[in-house]
Amino acid sequence: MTEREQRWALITGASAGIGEECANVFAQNGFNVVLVARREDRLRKHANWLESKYGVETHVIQADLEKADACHAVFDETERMGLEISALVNNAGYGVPGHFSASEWAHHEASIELMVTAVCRLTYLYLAKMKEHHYGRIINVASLAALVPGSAGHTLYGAQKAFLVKFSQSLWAENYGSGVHVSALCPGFTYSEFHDVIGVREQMSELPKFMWMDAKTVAEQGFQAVMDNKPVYVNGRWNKFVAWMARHLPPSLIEAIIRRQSAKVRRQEV
Amino acid sequence: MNTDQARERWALVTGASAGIGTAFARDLAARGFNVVLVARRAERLNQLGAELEDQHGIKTLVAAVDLSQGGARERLFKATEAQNIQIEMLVNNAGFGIDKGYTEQELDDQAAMLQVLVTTVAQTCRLYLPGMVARGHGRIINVASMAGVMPTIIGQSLYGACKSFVIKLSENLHLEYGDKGINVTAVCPGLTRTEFFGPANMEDDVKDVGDFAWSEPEEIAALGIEAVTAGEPLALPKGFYRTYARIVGLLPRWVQYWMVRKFNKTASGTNPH
Repeated sequence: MTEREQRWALITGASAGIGEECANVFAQNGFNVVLVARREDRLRKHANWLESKYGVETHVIQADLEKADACHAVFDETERMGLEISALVNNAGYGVPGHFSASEWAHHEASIELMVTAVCRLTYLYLAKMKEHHYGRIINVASLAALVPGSAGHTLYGAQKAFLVKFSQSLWAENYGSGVHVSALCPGFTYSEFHDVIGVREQMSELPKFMWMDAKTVAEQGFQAVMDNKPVYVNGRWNKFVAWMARHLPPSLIEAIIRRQSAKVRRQEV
Repeated sequence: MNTDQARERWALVTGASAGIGTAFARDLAARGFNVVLVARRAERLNQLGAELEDQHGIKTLVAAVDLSQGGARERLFKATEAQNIQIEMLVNNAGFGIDKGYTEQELDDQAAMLQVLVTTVAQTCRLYLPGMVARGHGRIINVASMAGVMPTIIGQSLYGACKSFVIKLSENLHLEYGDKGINVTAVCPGLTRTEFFGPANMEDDVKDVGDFAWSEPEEIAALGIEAVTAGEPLALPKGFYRTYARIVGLLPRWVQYWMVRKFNKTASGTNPH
């Protein structure tokens, strides 16, 4: 058995979208996969499919990472099963729509638990092991929202994703040369195959098509980025262009653009 | 009584028992604000409160809470509500550092850091924003750090990420609520002469850094108050840091990363293996 065949990748939020596609791309590249999400039946179905399609081993863990002890429960389970986690994809996340002060704090707090606290914890638990083995691949799924000023409805989300970008950059530098790679993945608007299947892709947005990418491409690029040890990877030419503009245009101009965008959102809310 | 109340302006400062927090409390009191002083150490707060009341003829309210504990923020909010205190100026300053590499730190310390530097900042904003929006006026200063702006070195992985969160949250809130009369500013101190470095075991790391890189806490407080008044979402100390950030910002990312790796190798005895 080659070393590679024993490697396991653990993916959170693996039941749909970018998480599901990340599981595919790691399996395709010979990693066994641990799928973590809340919906166990979906995970099982996908795990079976991965086993038959790529001939890899899989393991399913049902977990709600917003819960305080969930990360330790996940870690304990992989330890108990003797799975050596060589790759970790912190993907689970969502945005709380609407104005920041319009949503209950409990919703915001749950999203912080999932997108900040759980990411830090899982990384802490598995990173130490990766360093021991001199091999590790960590992808933190951030967002273009981390790199551009946020319009209303993305206020906390953008901050959480900015956290992940900075966290990844720092850990990347801290572990450089140790065999552990850390990447923040920054996709823009992403649709998943799911939308194609049920035929709603056209209705999803009035935004032009070139702004959209599919989850499969995002995941494939993310895999390549972490293998190449890129600390921050922005998916797609359009998103790269937007990120570049946000970095180089005068702040006052960007602010004016975002305020206009927010005003549009508000009109839609009314 | 009504007219008196209308004239009353209240500020709330977290981490008011030392350093930049104390400087904010003093500055705001001198500008005529009544101040809610928040920190863990009641004794220090009582002393500061008495001093400020005596010097500036303002009112103070001492709230001794540990912001790393869940429920602390709600209790704080309830305490100010119970006193019918309307917060016009919110200063999220409480924070601390941890040394060592990410996996050498204690998980409990990291959890406390996330509670104080991330959750508390977002939650106090969420708690006090509606009142500010209703009154059509509010000022929020979130004390971030140059560590949130510039590439971080070993030992700052979590701290720098928290401060990036604070900066982004401030910018985004500023954009979202600016037209409702609310200004939000992230002020980013560099090295500041406070008690920060002792508890974080970082005194040796910073003792040889030249004067040009140091600020007094009073300068940071004034910088933050002036920036939030002027409606600037991001405030960096004049001189060294502002220049440095501009230069580093112009460099391609790969040069920035190369610099950090170089610095990590030379400045730290921590072996990444």
